[in-house]
Amino acid sequence: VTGIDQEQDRLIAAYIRGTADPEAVARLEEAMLDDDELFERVQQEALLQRGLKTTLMESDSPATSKSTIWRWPGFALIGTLGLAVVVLGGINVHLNGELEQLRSPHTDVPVITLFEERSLLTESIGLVASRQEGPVLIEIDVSASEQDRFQLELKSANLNHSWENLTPDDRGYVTVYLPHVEFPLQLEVLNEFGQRIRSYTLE
Amino acid sequence: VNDLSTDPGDLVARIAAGDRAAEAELVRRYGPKIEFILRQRVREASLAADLCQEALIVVIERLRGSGLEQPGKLAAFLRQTAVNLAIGEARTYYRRNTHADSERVDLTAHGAPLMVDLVEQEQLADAIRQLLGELTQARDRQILRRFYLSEEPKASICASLEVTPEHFDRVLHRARQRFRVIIEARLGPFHNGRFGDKP
Repeated sequence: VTGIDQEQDRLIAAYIRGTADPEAVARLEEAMLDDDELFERVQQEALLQRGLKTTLMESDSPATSKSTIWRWPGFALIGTLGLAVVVLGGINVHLNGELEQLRSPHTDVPVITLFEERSLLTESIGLVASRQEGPVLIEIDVSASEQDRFQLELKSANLNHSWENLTPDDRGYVTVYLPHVEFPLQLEVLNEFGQRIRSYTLE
Repeated sequence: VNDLSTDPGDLVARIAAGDRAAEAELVRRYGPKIEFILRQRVREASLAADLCQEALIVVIERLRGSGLEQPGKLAAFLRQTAVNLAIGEARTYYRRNTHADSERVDLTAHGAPLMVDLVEQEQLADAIRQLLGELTQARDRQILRRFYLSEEPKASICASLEVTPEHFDRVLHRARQRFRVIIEARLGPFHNGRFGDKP
């Protein structure tokens, strides 16, 4: 990496951010008009900045998931939802029936809340859920974990979803949205390195 | 690096001589770049596209008529025309002065989309997640987050994270390089306004 490369990197980044001084902007834009390679670098920086902003903002929000889920109308309200639930720790825990369904005061989307119950130790966690139809939110209390990012994998007969870079909200919950739900449902909470922290089976 | 095959001065001379193919070449070569420049100013993509077309018409008419005193400075003239059009008063001025012959300016060559328009939001988010996932140091992720999302100045990020400016630059440079590799691995190399074509 040369100093010239890095200086140009800085100028391009400032240009896309809108913080470059007008003279530097004029020089860069004129150079870009006759330099395809430079134009490509500028476009790539614009793409990188857009991607980082949207992805980091998404991961910062209380309810995060892949972009298909973001398309759901009203999903932005999810951050205000819920009471919580869950499981986590470093050990498998059994929650017999610790499953609640709460209704969002804002979206009317049912919420399955997995409350933490660290005192129960078993190999697997079997939960009995009231059968839901249509969209549902699943909130998991991960406040017992020292991790700050999580992955969630969900599998059922016809569903296969995964979420990455889930960040707990202020309460210590991660929230995901499912447009459809079917049971039995297998849920796995992983840390950011892909190591399994806890598994659930919802029946 | 100038990757362009025709010298801008030659292009100006050919347009002055009535060469319509040279006009199409000008539109194809500069159209996407002018549109990108305009998007930096007006942000609204459709308005930027309209202004881009106006800028190209204005420039081509000028080249057909009085020409440029310094043909080698075609890029500067193009840019200044576009920037002026992004300013309301200048836009009105140029619209008033665009004569009927502009109907015959062929803008169909301006077909190459911008890179930012070619990548779906979901593809972009996946690529960014991969990029962030490959950063093993939490501090490096913090640098990207604070610089790009919070838009903090480099100096304050370096001070609070106790990293040198050189380390900061290396993290960003590597992230850019890696991002390019990730995008091209997913969509193919970017060339001539599209992904997937071999140069």
